[in-house]
Amino acid sequence: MFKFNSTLLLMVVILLLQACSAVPPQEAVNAEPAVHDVNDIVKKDKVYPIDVYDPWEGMNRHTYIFNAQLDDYVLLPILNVYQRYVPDFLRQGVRNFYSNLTSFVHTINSGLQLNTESTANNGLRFISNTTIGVLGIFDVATGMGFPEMKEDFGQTLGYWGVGEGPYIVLPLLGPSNLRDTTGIAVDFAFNDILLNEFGMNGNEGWLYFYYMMYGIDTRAKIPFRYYESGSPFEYETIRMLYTNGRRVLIAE
Amino acid sequence: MLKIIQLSIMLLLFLSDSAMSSSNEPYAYPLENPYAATIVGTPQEFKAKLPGYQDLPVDEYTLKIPGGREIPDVFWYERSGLRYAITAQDTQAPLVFAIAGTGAGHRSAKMKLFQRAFYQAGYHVVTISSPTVSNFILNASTTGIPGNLKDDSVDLYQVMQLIKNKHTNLAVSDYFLIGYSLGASQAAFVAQQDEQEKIFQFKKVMMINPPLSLFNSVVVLDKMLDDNVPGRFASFNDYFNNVIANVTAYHKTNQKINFMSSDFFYNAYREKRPDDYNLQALIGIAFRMSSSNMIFVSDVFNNLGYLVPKDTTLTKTTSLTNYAKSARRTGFSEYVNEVYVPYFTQTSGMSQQQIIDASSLLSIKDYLQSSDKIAMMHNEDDPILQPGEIGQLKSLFPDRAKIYPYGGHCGNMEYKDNVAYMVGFFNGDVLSGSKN
Repeated sequence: MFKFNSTLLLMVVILLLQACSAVPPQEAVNAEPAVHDVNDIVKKDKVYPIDVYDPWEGMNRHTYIFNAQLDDYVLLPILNVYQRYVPDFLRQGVRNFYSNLTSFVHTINSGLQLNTESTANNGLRFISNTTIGVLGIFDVATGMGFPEMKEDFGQTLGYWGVGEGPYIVLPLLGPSNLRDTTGIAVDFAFNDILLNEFGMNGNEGWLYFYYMMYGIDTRAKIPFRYYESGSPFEYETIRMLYTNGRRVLIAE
Repeated sequence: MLKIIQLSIMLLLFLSDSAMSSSNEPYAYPLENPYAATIVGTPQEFKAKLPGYQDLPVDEYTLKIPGGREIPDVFWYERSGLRYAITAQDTQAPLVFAIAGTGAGHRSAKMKLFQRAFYQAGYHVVTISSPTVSNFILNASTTGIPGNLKDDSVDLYQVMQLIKNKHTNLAVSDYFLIGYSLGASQAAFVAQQDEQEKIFQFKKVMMINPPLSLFNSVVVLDKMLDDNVPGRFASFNDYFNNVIANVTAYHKTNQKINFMSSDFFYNAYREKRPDDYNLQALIGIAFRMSSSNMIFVSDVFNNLGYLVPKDTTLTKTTSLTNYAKSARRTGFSEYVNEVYVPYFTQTSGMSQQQIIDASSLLSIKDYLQSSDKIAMMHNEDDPILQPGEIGQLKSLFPDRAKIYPYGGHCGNMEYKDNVAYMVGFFNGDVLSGSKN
């Protein structure tokens, strides 16, 4: 399963590498400059907070639109049914189950970043939730003082000085960059170890169910809805927030 | 200038304290700094106990307004129509129309509060975006130039009628109307129009934290940014990097705190106590983001040549990054002077002063003073008001103004007393509500 998915990710990356760059605005011939002329206001040699290295912007914007439509036509309708018909305690159980599996990945990455506090926290969280919390369905660890401390392989790479690389909008998964995309693939491999360990990697039907629920739960956790920020600069805003949010997480 | 505002706010705070000491219980909303209140809102433990948003039967719809103009490619995603939501009861019930504040869509946090509070209290709730957001400008604005209270309210009124006509199976006993911030001012104008057209005959109208004068508040908000980010927006970079550095430092020492959690800002505020200048700058930035979004959309939609040269082709995937930079550098006051006032002097024949006067609630003073069904909820320390404006607002609603000692601009809306008051007013069990 992992092999298939990492190949897919690799294909995506290659596709992106070949992608076109951004389309500049097409001004009319002999157009009068605007009252507040961009060319006067924006200094070419200056880096603005909204600037993020995005050489594949053209492709990224296409993917952004693709993701928005996927959300509208596929993900949100499923989510709607899930949230309306699956009772709260069950959804919470699903959420806890996946959150517990990711604490395994968080533990490995905390270790790789030589962070004793979060390694201990995430390790103890994983152990107590897997045992006392019945395979993670109940989150007993937060109450015991071991809250979720997210550490993924993208952060690990960042910790060891790997730069962000170009910004990438991943199909389905959304905002990322080259470093974090690599991180996703590696975390996927870590998670696969766990699935093998629990004997959950053999049955194909089960795996489909596993990833479907994982996808639904992940989407359910994100309140974001495309084009509802009311901002015509939503692409730019998300890009800025993602990049700076990751910087904050990595700097810790 | 700011010192004067601060001083008068403090003075007002002090006065209101003594004036309100007669009420039985002290007001326990925790943030006494108006700027912090505006940014942080209501911390979790002080919020009204309400059902979760996810547990409500919220249905999303889109509305096509007849005679709408063609929407440019760059805003392709708004072509499905005006988005709104209905949270309906199973049986016949009173219905609340809710109007969002500047820059806020129908799914913003404060609109969700209305859905949760009024659904629980047995009302249908219809949530409508502010006429200042792109979805509304492109789909439902007649002029495409938002900011005119009267015009925008006419558009809102039309939208409400279309929604009413579309959902004929919704059993409604009475109509109610609520709005916050700019949405509150618009609610007043909508209510006034309804007195003539009598389509809804609103039973009660609640206005939460309206500006007295839209243009005065715009000046205040523009200044919060210009006065507090050294070098104005030009050195916004340094300011922004500084904010990020502070967040990083805070996160570093508090690793176990999830920075997406609802009380992150509250905890950060309590620990770091940022000074007022920084808080004001943040409010100014938030406002600048909303106002510049609005200006850009209006500019492209009407081909004004203000930020984007006339007849420029912008496609679905055109990079807008540079326009975002120039838009963020353009204050709302500049837009008012350079686009808004010239446009409306030309189309309406009004003078500049008349246009500015029309942006104030004082322009419908007689209506507000004599309409028992309208109440206002406000805060003594609302930082979008100029000195003395809270007093003028009170005079517009004799016996119908509920003024809290603090809460900033809409910061205390989710506080339990405030929620109880807004629901109680519609239910008819508080104060002036009982008259009717």
